[in-house]
Amino acid sequence: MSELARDDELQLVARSQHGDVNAFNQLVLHYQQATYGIVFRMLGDRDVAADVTQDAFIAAFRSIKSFRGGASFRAWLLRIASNAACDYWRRSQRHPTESLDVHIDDDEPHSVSILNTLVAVEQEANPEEYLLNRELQELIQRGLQELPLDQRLAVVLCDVQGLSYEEIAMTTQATLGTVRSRIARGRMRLRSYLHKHQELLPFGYRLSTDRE
Amino acid sequence: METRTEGSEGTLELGCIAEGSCPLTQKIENQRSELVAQEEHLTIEQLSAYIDKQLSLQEQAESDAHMQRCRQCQNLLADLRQTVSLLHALPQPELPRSFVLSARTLSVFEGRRPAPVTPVTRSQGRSWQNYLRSSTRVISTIAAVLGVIFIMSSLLLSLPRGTVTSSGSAATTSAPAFSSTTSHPAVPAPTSANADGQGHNPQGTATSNQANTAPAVGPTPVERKPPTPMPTPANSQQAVTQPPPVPAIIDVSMPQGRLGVGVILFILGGVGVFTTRRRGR
Repeated sequence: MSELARDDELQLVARSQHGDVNAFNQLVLHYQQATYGIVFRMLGDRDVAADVTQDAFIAAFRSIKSFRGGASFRAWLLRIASNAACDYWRRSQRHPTESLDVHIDDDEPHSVSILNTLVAVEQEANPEEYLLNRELQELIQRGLQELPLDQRLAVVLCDVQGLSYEEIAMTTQATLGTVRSRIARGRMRLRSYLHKHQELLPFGYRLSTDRE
Repeated sequence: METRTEGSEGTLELGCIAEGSCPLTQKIENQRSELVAQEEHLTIEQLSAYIDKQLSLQEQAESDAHMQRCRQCQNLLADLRQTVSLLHALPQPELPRSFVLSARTLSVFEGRRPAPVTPVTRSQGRSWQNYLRSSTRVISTIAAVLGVIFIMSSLLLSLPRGTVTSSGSAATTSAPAFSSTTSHPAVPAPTSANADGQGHNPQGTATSNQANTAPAVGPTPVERKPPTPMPTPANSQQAVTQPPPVPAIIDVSMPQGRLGVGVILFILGGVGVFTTRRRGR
């Protein structure tokens, strides 16, 4: 992801604050991959994540006047998106009929993106490895969804999106200490989850210890 | 903890197999594990921060030292590292579509939630417009009401002109109409001034006298007096918006003049009310 120059970004933000949708759309183009990535890893469903992401961008545009120039725009935007994702998750837990668990497995391999990946993988490696990878991806995704929301968000921001501790603190409006502890507990919990499902892990990824 | 006891048992076994050096090795190993047992293991938080190099220099040094001796912490660190690298390996999901905001997305969203996109600018514009509109409407309504009163009074006045005997009673009936115009202090002032300012002929004074004297007991004369000295000719011309090129039509002392003024006021007021109502929609 190419970095948007800070001056350019500030200018786009300022224009957006005056209601310029085109300026805001340049920001959208720049941040949509990261935003969608976070929301998807939080919720685990492509369609739901797309809707939540779209709503988050609209909400961001509507409230961009409240953004203060000194702060990080990325952190501000990701906060709106991750709040939207958390809200959706809580709602879906409260109404189990529309629970996300139902959706997780209907990610059929004939969807365009997976086919693309499949083609790409087949070109460079054997398809067996791809299948293992995909299983593994799903296992990790399920493991993420087992985490409490605050830990899940911290782990996704840190280990999937590669944000710094400082930026995670800004995004989640928490102290560095809290961020550190959430990341640690989230990782530990995910480790236990993967440990429980050792047999699903490909050989090279088996966790080294069984000390129980 | 278990790993460590396992470890020391392991060396114990080893020592027993290699009988010559047994006691010495055992002693050293026991001392080492006691040393490790005395200090605390690294917390999960420290291990996790260790991976991200988020420990302070001192913490980092202590952890390094501990890790060299403690298999358990090494294993846990390796596990956490493995977990983190699995997460790193997760691919970015492909975007299902672009999330660029189109007019359609915005309007759909607005349909779903009532608040408009630019509430601030709209409300600012509205308050200014509202003010203008409502004031125009009030003035227009007053003008229209005045127009009706003028028309009615001219009709009532033209009646007694025909039958001379009932002039007194007609004057008294026209008087309440006047008093009702003076009850709007803001707008009627110029019109009544117009009546006084232009009506120099004796008939005009007669009617105003009649109007003044007829309800002598009521509060109207007192109310009517203050506006009289106030207006200047310029003021009265502005207020009626019709300069007097044809004095006969707007000569309020004459019944037909009142009728003319009444019709003009009524039309102006009606147009004002009508247009402001249309703009409000």
